[in-house]
Amino acid sequence: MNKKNYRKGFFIVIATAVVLLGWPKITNIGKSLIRSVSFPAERVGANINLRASDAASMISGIGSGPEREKQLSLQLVQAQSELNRLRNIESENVRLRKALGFKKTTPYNLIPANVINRNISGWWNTIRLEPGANKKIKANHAVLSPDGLVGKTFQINRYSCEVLLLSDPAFRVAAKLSDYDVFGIVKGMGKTLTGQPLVRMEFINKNIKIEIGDEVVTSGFNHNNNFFPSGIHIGYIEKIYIDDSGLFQHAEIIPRATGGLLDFLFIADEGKN
Amino acid sequence: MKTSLLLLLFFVSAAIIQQLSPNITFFGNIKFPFFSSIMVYACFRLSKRNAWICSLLSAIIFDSLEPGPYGPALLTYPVITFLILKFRNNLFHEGLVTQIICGGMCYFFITLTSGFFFLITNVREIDFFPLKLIGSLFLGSITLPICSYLLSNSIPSEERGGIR
Repeated sequence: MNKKNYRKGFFIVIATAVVLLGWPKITNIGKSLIRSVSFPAERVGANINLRASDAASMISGIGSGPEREKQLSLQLVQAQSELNRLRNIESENVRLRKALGFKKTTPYNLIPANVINRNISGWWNTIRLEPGANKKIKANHAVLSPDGLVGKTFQINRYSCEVLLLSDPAFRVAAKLSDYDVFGIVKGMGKTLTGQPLVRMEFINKNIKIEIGDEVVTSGFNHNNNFFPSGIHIGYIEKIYIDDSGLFQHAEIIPRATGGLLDFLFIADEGKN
Repeated sequence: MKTSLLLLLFFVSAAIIQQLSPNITFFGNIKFPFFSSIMVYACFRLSKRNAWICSLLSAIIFDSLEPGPYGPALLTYPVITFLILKFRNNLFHEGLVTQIICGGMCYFFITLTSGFFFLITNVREIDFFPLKLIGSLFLGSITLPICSYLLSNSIPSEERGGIR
């Protein structure tokens, strides 16, 4: 290749990059295509990783049956979500008795999901789950583990979907304190240098007294086709601050759920149980 | 054909290993750059035409596996390829020192450009950026020699008329 062609090639590459950057539809098609093609290899990789981890835990004396664990995880999530729902119903009942009103709570389905990969660069706090559009997974739905909220689905491909983890700075969800009606927005703040996820609840009314150790759950307020059922555990308040503006308080939260490669996760779906 | 298939296999394996590998938390959650190291090593070994094809395809694969928009790899990989092709005749790419310096500089450049890209496009907040840059220099300088050692017998040298 001579020098002229060489430069021409370079400028074509840059021009292609600029076109792709400004065209979200092409971006989505390209990403979906590459991820669908690479899905079988990723699943093989995830299976090898799972088998290796199982073998390691068996060798170290902590034998575990992945299927049994999956079943138990599902039962635990269902029991916890049922408990949260009943708690909500109880508190709601008290209010409704006073107001002589009636409100129906909507139960939701849980779709089991396997974690097949993490993010490739480390810039994003995301994981990839196995069911995708083929199992009617939709974007912006809550992803749970037996410990609580893990994140939300986005970028749905044919066989897999990306999950934006709770700790990612792009993550936002409407939340409240479980014991009383104090609302706010839970936002991811990245990770510490020791790998601990940082999560913060913002826009809490400054006139309401909140305490360290209060439980934070999802409020159930959804917008833009989001689906976050109310009462999903997010974490516990660790520190409380007054906002720089002096208008609100914000609280640092210790999230309990993590989205590890070996975790069994569940995607919340609108369908009834 | 054999080289192309081998390279594809290496890139897919590198992508899977890099995704499965944990983040290095004390370097601001970056990862060992197996994928970009293979790209850099391939650029040193392949003919100019094949190096460009390899660079462009690997950039598209990398950005497709990322949640953000196309950009970080698609902008940096061609620049790295351009620089490698320009200077590779003056470098001893089989030498450990060259690999350490080139690996570190390439991953540093990728991290730097990615950071600026995210900053300009406002796609996401950037945390521990200086730490990420230092970490990328360190991790890149470790990964390229390892990848070079593993691939030296698999990718034939095309840059000087096929002399190995």
